[in-house]
Amino acid sequence: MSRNSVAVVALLVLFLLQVGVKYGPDIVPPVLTNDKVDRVTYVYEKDDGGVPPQIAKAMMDMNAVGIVATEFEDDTVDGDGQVPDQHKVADTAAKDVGQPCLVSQAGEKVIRVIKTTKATTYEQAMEAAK
Amino acid sequence: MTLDLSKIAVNRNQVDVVLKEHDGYPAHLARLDTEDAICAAFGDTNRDFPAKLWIEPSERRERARMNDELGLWAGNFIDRFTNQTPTHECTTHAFRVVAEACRNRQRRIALGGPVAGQRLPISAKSASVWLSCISVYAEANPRQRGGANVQQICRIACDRGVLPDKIQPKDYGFRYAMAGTCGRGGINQSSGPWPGWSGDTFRTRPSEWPDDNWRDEAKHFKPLECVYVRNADEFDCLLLHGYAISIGRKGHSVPVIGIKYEGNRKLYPYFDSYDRILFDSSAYYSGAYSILTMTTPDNWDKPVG
Repeated sequence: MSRNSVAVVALLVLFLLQVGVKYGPDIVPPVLTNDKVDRVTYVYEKDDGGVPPQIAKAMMDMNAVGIVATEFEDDTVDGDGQVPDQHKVADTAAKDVGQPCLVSQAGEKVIRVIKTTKATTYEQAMEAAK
Repeated sequence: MTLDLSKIAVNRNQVDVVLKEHDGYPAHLARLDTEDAICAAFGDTNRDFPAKLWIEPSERRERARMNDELGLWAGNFIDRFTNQTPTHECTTHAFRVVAEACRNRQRRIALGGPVAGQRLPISAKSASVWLSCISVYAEANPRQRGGANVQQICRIACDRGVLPDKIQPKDYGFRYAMAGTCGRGGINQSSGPWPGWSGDTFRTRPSEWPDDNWRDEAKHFKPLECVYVRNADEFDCLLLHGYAISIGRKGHSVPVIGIKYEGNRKLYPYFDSYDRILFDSSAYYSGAYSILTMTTPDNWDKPVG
């Protein structure tokens, strides 16, 4: 392999490591986009545990800056017994990745999905808003 | 601003308050609120206490501290008091706190807890919908005086939902709003005449209703999952997870919204249906229940479509 190729590979590896460190438990790498996150949904099943305090706090802080940050418990439906329209995109995204997770959207577009655990920190949860 | 129970000063006159006479949860009705009866009343919404919500006793005080610091108590998701004076509506006033706290917690906007006599600016910016107590009570007790027990109001609410109050923090376009109480009410709760109940509907429907299809609106404010609280441990764990719990004791039904640790003792704060916060020093009463999830709208700003 030429020296240039090694350098390119090394830079690529460094880049990927940076992405991994910054975004922590991401399973779906963020979509590279200029779209602004306007909705974050925490999708979970309460029979597997409640909303961790740090995630709850992060969502409240997201709401305070204008992002629509809500919980969607797996069995929740609207008055007609259907998955609420506002949660359909997040519900589908969460099925692909597994619950619990934070789903970031810009309109109907999924920007990122962060798989979470009880140990997810406030800072990691706030990445969903970026 | 969020509700921090550790910062609330407690006057001893606020602890273990017992009313002179029952205000809607008389002993002969309370006796009927067995675990089996309440769970049957929940119908399809009945759930066991979720095992994964268990918090070890050694960890509960720290969790309470975190709830104070981060604003995670159920009380932080309530933005109004109600006032039932001089009616017997207490079980429905307690119910509406549990339901509204659940719904607002799902939306995760911190409301900060109610302030007597005040409309909170945050309410109009949130998804808070104020529920009508008498929209359930009228069916539970068509005689109006005498009260209703937990199984009666839960059966009704879990079956067909609750109507919105005529007073709301913002205009949601409701078509079938009803007075919140036949009692005093206040700035955040409308007071109106007794609607009565006859057959399977209200005897006197509000003149502004277009027709009698009010169930089409009530279904949007319905418990989806409810749990009967079987003991003091489940009681504490649910409160620590941010769920409100309705309890009945000594003739009165009240909604507990958190736990306040004071030295070696615990106090259980509740938003009493007389525009005030009071505290109980006992851990648990029978007839206790919580709502784990409520229906969620397609759009928070248009909750009935």
